[in-house]
Amino acid sequence: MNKDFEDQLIRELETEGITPDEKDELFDVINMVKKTSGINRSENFKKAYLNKLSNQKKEKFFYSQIYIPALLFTFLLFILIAGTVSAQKSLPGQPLYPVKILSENIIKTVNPSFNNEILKRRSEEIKSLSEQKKDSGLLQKTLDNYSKELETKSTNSVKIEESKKNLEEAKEASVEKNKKKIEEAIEKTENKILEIHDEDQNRGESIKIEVKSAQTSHEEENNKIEKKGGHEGESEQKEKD
Amino acid sequence: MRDSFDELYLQFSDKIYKYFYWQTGDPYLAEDFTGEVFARVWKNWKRFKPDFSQAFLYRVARNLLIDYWRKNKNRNEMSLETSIEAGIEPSYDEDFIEKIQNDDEIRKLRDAIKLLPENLKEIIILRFMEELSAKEVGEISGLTEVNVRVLQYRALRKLREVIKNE
Repeated sequence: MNKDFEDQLIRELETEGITPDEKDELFDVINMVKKTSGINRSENFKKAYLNKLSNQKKEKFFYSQIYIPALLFTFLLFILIAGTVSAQKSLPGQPLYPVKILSENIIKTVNPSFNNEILKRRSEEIKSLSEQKKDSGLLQKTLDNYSKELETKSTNSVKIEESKKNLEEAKEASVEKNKKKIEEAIEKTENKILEIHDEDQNRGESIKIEVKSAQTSHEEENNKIEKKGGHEGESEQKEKD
Repeated sequence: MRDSFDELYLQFSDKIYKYFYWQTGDPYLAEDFTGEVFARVWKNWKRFKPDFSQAFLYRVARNLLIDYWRKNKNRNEMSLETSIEAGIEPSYDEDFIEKIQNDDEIRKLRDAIKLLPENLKEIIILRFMEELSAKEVGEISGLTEVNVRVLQYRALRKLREVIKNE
């Protein structure tokens, strides 16, 4: 037994009125109690417990720092993709419509020819809005966007033709007061088609001219070679004679 | 952080095991309790570490025991909720358990201690087996130092009497 502990204990017991005989007896009891305190569980057993805790900590770290964030990220990605895909069918005024516009802006920065597809989409929206007899403010805004796309970027005559067809169907379906606005858009579309047609023709003619001049220069070249060949033949004949 | 917890476990787990062993007389239950105490401390180690003391560890052990007695008066099982939450399956040092189960002195003392009233049993365990000071025993049991001194005298006399009568 620790000496300080024993001295302190004796003082405390004396304060409580212990007699010397009793002290010996009580210390026998204390010594008996103390004898049993020397046995301990093995070091290996204790280390095994700590290893279990450590493994749990690693597992917990994996779940909290890697697995769950990865799962959340995948889930958010899925939501984002699903939202973007379903937004493609949305119409102006619907909650997912801004997502559609955003995704279009992203795609056209990567692929500028996507403008033609955007034009067609606006025309489809105009058609749907007209069929559904939606608010003319929304229709006007969509027509403005359509015109903007048409004036600045569209060059694919097939898509523009399809857009025109959509607008014509929209005109048929729309209420009377919107018909004129749609008609204006159809007119602009027709002008654009003519513009593209003229450009194509001009381009075709200039190509024809280029081909013709290339042919002419080629013929001239051939003539020169033939003439040169004829002169050389004559001088050879003279030498032989 | 982990190293200091390991040191704590290596230093105190035997003491806490023995506290539970003498309190319950069951070596397996004592191991379950010990694992649960350290799982609880480990779970909140960041919070506990700055003010950690030996007395605090015994207080956690004592509260667990009181809780167990209150809930399972007639059943010899306990809730290992924190150990299970931490994914730790109970395991036992069978050699050690066999040793204490077959030791006559330990068995005699265990039977004697079992006959003591709860408050005196706790004083014997904390004051004489674990060699804590009267002040620390008071902190753990919610008694004043003077009360502990009075009770320790009474506890020793009672234990002597029980041993004599066995």
